[in-house]
Amino acid sequence: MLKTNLRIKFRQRGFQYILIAAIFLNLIFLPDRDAGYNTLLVDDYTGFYNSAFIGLTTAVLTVFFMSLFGFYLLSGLIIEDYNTEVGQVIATTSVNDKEYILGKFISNFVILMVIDLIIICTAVIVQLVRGEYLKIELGKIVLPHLIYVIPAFIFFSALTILFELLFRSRPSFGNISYFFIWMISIPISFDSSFDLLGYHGYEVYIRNNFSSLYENSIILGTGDLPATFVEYPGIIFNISMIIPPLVLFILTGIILNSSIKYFDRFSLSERKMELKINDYNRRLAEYKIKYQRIISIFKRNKKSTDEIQTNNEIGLAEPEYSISKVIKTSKTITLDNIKIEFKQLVGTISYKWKLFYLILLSISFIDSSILSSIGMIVWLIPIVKLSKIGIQERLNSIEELVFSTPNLLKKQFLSMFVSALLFVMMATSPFLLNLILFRPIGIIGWIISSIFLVSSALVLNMIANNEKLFTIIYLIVWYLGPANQLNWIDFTFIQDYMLTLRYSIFAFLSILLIIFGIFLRKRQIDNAYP
Amino acid sequence: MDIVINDVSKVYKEGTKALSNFSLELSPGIIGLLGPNGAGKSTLMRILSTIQKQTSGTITADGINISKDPDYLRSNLGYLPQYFGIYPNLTANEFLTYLAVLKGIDKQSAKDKIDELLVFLNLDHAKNKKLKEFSGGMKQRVGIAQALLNDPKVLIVDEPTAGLDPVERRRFTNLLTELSEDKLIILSSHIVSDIESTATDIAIINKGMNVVKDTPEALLSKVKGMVYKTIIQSHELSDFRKNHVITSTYRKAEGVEVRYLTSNPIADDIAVVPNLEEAYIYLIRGD
Repeated sequence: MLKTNLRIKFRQRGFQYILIAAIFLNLIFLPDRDAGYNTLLVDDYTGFYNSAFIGLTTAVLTVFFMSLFGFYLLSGLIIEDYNTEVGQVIATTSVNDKEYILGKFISNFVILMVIDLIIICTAVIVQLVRGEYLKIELGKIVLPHLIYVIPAFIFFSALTILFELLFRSRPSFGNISYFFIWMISIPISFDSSFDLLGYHGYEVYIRNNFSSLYENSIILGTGDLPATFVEYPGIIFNISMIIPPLVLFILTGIILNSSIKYFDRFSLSERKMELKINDYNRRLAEYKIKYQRIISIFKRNKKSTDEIQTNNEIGLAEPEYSISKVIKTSKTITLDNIKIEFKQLVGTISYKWKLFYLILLSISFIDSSILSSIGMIVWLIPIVKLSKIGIQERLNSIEELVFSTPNLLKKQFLSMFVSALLFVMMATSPFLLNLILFRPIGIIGWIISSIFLVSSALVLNMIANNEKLFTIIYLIVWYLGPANQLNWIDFTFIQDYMLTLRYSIFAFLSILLIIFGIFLRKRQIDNAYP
Repeated sequence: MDIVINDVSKVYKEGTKALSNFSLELSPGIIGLLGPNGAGKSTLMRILSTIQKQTSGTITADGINISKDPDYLRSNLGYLPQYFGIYPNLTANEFLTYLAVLKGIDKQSAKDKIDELLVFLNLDHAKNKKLKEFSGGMKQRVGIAQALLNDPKVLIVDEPTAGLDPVERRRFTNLLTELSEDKLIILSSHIVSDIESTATDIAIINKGMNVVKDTPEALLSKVKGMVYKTIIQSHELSDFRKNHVITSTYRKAEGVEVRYLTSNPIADDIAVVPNLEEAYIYLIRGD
């Protein structure tokens, strides 16, 4: 099972992309001294590129990024067993629940460790390339990975399994929930003694041993911050360092135990059983109705039995079927196209959502001060639906039915885009209402934001051919932009709403993305089966 | 509509040759496509339905090259793939409306046609239920309905009766016969009896090549006088199988009745009237 899981993941493009990204980030986090920025900067101190500093930097980097990207890479192993129904075969083997869950857990861990191993190898190469200290002390490079990376990876390998099981039917919600957990937990560990990444210990060492001129620390600095280089000796062990890994191990045990208990061994859920029973009852009712109908025909018309077309032993009447001739056809987009695409995208809106929107709309009447809060919420809402546009056929295995229809690109692309745009505009309508009432100039930004969001979702989904890439990028952009007011990345223009060059840039980007989207869609239709 | 498949080959990236210089001429009627697993049937179906491209060769529909102008065939095509999904949160009615819109059918025609098909396919009671609540057989009937939505001139159906109960199966094969008056229907199936009862022509495909295309009667005539039956004991079956091509076995009180293919029958064995399955086995074996 372990070998198969590893084969599945190693052959996925996502694994290869994350590996390349990890190597690339290694280079970014260990920049050339002329690069104009420093990493692991405490006050104005940072380390020379010796093995200890490089080991620590790569460990911090690995825990920080892989705890997020690793989740999106790993998730899917169990869901795939459910969806492909391979699970039902596994369920009939001697593999018990514990072995199955632990097998998946070990697979997850091994996949992450392979990436870490490659990062360690890259670290060695980077140390030689930077050339400040040519003596490679492998122990000092590896030690931070043993202390920080391995416990974190053990924990995240287990957490991924629990999330897969909990959010099996709604993986997009799982992806979003995980992001929020990561967003809260990882940054906290930078400033606390519960040091998950190894950064806090390093910061304390620098502050205790060198003069503190500034109350400033930065992980990935930008610009021309002054830097004094020190020779970082490596991790100095103290007893408190045991606590975080110990807590992670205990949590891992609890998570795995819960996962084993929660795992249903691919059995039919109660809902499915209920559906099957309903289906059986319905069929029974159908046969009764048909049977009664035939009896009534006998009684009413007193026709002879040979006049009635029968098609099985209990004598069901053969229904008549006249082949009516259709059909007016349209080669271009119609309102029906948009309506039906919208219906397909949005589905039925539940009363809970309607109530929630009523509350949001009511709040938006208050004043302009709540615009930022409303914006943060409403711009997050479309993410689940948008993560499916452009790939809805693949996600539902419906490519053969849809891609064999005529003039598809011409008819469907625009309707798909417009329906998604309408959905985004609808989802962000409380934000719009507040803009109309208190900041009408922002309406232009809202239109551009909506178009940008739809076009980027379309392109990212089609590039990745899954929901994850858009979800993860959008969450990061949302976190940095609307949530943390990093204006240059804030495509919603919540803070910086005056007409500036950024409007034009996002509008231009949207046009480029739409053009690229058309190209990708055409390629998708033409090469559904290469 | 006439379709001409001329010297078509399909080689996948990893080097697997699914079709090899395949040629076939198709005109209105029901053509049954028979072949063992991996023979290239589904690849051929996908190429014909324009969602996959051949590596070489041409396919024309009424003289129009479908690689260059796939929309000509798509406008006249109904396609039921072997495996297909659904949008689980749409109802049967909504799903069919969605596909009708994609096929370019106007609103009223689509509504009439969907109502008609749902009644015929015994789904009218469930038309407003979400598809995720449908059983496998019901989903298959939705698939059949979507293939017939646009009153297609060419209907390509890949294993259409999979998952249908015998009643539904019979209704569907009857429907195909009814539809075939002015349409070209390409029916791929493993169930020889489905093809036997409906097809006006049968093409047998093996290892990506066209073995033969003929009427069922002509195919049967190829194996005339080559099918025999005999009764042997159960313990002799294994040895008998090594020396003969057994087409069917039937347990009886006096032993096992065996039908087998041969040009050198054992003395006293009785020649029987061959069926299509036996003709198929004979032609696939190539001897």
